[in-house]
Amino acid sequence: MIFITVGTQLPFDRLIKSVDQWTGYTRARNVIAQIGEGSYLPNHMKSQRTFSPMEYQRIVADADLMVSHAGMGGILTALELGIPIVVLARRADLEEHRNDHQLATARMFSDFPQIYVAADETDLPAKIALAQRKPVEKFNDFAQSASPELLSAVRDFVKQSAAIGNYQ
Amino acid sequence: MFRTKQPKILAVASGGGHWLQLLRLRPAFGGIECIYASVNQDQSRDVDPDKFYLIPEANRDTKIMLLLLCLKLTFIILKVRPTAIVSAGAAPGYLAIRIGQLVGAKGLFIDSIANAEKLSLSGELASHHADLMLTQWPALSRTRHVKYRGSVIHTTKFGDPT
Repeated sequence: MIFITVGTQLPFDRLIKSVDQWTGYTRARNVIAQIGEGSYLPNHMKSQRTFSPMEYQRIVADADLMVSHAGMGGILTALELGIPIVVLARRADLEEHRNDHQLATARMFSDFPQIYVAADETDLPAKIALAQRKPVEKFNDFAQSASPELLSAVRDFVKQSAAIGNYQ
Repeated sequence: MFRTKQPKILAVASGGGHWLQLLRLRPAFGGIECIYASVNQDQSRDVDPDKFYLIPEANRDTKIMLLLLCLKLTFIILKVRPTAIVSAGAAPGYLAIRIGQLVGAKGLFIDSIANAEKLSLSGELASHHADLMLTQWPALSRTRHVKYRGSVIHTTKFGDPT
């Protein structure tokens, strides 16, 4: 199953429309989309504006591939599940987000073997095909938690917050 | 006078990717009392049996919701009395740190890993106030106030700061 998500906050019709057309053209079955506040309503795939976290977890557990805006929710979910993800960055000039940080996110994560960055909406079908064709190279060192360095920095900070010399 | 206390954490984040990043810090909280606050009641399942408070969803474009968010955070902070406030962003984390500091809590703000080329707006604001301000990208840690101490993704790709 392919899960399409644009998050829950901002519309992203450019992505939804393109994937919907691809779904219609290829007659792909089992495509489910979370379309958020978008005004484009898909014709060829099942869609809902939002899913509850429970439903969301059930859907992603079933997914072999995700197609998402370049938000960290989708990227982290795909990395944790070890499934490929195709991302398309929101653009500020198209009023898809307040700024262009998703372009930076997409660029920085494009090195990951299971992350496919679409240059624009017309590039989505090619990247979906690529992601479906190539087996996922599992990340051996990708854990379910933050890096040891960050965990110890957080732990030290928390412990010191209660240390002697701290008034309250 | 000086005294020693038990550490107590209030962990705050917006939904979506911010919340997922906060959850990835949980191994650091082991054995320490931790209370969570975020924007969707269903998120309480992720941290069960730890206590969870619901806060309003707000950002810089929703001024009235921001006010409600401040009130709710003040209520939570006065009730919980955390020694540390840990946040993975965005607006709720920044506001929780500012309010918490008024009653003696220390604030840690970790800017989202999504911000690879410049700090987020809330991260920029937090960098002037947080007791510890972390970025997840070595290249953004050049200034005195913003430090890099690893990231929520543990892979050699984001390894050593250069």
